[in-house]
Amino acid sequence: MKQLLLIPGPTLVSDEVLEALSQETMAHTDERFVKITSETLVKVKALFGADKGHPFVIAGSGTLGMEMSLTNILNDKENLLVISHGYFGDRFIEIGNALNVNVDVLKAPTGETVPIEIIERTVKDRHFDAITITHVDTSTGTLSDVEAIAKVVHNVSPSTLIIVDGVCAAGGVKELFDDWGIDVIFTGSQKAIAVPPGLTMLAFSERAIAKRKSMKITRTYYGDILRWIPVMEDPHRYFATPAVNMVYALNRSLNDIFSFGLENYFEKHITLARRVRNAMSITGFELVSKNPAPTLSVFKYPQGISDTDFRSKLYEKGIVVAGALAELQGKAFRIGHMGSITEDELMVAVKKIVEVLEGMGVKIEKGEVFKGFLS
Amino acid sequence: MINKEFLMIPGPTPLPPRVVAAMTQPMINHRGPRFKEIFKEAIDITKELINCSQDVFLVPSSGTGAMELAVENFTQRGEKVLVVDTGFFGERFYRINVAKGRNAIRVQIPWGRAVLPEEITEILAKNNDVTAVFLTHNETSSTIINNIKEISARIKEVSDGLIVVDAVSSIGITRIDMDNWGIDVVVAASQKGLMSPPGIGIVAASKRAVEYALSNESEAFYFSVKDLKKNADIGQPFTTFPVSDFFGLREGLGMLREEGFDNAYKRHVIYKNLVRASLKELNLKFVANDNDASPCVTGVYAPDGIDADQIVEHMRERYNVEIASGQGQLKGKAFRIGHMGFINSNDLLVTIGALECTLRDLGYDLELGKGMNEFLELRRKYEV
Repeated sequence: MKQLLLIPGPTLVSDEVLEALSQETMAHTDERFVKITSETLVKVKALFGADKGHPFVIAGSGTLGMEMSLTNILNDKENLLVISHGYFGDRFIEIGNALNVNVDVLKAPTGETVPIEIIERTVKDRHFDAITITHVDTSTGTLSDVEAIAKVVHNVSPSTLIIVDGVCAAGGVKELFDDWGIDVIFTGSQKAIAVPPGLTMLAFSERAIAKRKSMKITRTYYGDILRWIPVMEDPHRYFATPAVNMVYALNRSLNDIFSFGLENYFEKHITLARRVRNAMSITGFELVSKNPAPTLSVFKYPQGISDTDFRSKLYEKGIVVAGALAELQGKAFRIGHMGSITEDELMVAVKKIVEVLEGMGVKIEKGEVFKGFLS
Repeated sequence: MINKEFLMIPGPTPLPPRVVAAMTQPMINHRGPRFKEIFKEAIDITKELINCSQDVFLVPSSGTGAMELAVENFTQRGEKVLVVDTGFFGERFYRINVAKGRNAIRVQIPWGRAVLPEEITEILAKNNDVTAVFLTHNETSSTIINNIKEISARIKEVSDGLIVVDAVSSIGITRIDMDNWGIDVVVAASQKGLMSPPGIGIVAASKRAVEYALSNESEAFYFSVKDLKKNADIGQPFTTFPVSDFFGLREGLGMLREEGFDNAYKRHVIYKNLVRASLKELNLKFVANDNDASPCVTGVYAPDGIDADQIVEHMRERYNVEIASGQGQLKGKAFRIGHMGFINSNDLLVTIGALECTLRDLGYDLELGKGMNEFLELRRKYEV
């Protein structure tokens, strides 16, 4: 059966992007590939709103990007403040600990966000060399107000570097690296950008690069931006073999996104999120997040619905959604509505969710659900 | 001319149509049952390929990332390690060790020959505190192959340090027998002998190497064997995996097994012999000596008065054959012909022909067809 993959990444990849992926592998020094890489980097900058930023495209998962965001700017014993809205925020703590960085955490209760006043007070009380913000935490589906947090941090503690995890956000949510004063942003290829997993894209500010240059000890080799900068500035140069076919795919998808219009693409995500949520609220599912992101939804099960049953029955009908993570495991499920997915496909998914629920004995006003979806 | 291209570089290599078809399957969940199944298949074939009874880990990265992973997890800051540098990638292993604060000593071998076991054992005899020895199996820059089986046996006579082998350009091309040769760590990548797209690093480890890594206080998070092992034990990747590239890798590994690993090794040696015999007829000089020459890449000095990069460029522009420039100290002086992975003697025939034409176009005095003639004679003999 044809499957509809609706997990919050990897997301469905369009035929056009798969076709680009399947083009013959070129030498990574081939002029044509050099051109593709340069063009892709320009679009990565535009994606992040990082006209002044230094862009990178590197073979690896988003976790590599996440690790690079710390290894390139933090020395041993420097202070890091982590704003955590879930599992992926917490991951910064683990990486920070592995790197012997002093990590402080402001963690919101599940589904909530850390109040801006608390962030302000914390960065006022103590000096932090860097702060991490997870733009969209894929575990709770929570969106952070990166602009507001960055503003407060710049006001209160201007020397603190601002790191943004854009893995489940970039492309699906507006990000203005330059205007918001972000120092490091990273994402993965497999979410709203709708490319298979395998690439991490990043941007570093001038001062983030200056910080890296001041560091005496290299914490990473493959992820060292100083080794990559010459390649990104002139892709004729070689440091490590790029994932050639994946770069074709990324270039194609970014072309498609930009010809659709980045603003329109953000709008599409907002609309899809609204439709899915309107429909689901009628079936009795509640969102976990009080500030939900447009790229995915994490829905709490109504009383009496078993996670395993629900997801396996849905799977049998060709709809693949994801289980929840950490403390939400078994209590909620996650559905992505980002990337190349269309309204029609989501409508089919909603129809099958309704069928599964009915099969489980839940009484549903089907008409209302579809009306909700379409409103 | 219709633009049909021949990619004859030492990786990335041309992708077989089967691999391309596999890559374009619809996306699947990297934590789902189907992925789990093919993940296991790929790991099992890799274990069989390099005879590894312990662990094979796959990481989304280039081969360089896999090299860093090896340094990070199988040694620690301040430890004394020996790096055997027979070319650009040996030097890279040295640099990674230095960058990571290892007390690295290096034995540098002039480009074009393999290391002699005694060049290693002499140093080890004087440095009994060396905890790991880093070697390159096949070196694509200096176009040589080291005899890992013999070197490993000789190292073991004088040292119990871990033996770490960069097999990025030897896996699937020549035999690697981890268990029997006593290799502790093999580092490889998807885009050469495995006929797959670049993007996946491979690290195989022996029992004692894994034990070392599990007790090592490493700074790594992304390249952490602890995390890799924990996830591998439940049959899943430690991070979101490059699904499409991986479909390709699984198919490439499958093709290699169907061909028969030994057959693949044999054909690479034949390619090497064909290329060298033909180019000798053109009075060209090789970077590597006959004994140590790599089975998958041949380095050739440009004739006097001709820039090697010009040869590369002309062959590409005029004849649609992409060969590689010399790397590092051979830049401009030598060019390299890759003959690895999804290549056959037809591709080589085209390449030798294009090279003859190119050299003639650039003013080298040669009798057209002389190399080709030798190639054809040998091709009949080898039946390839």
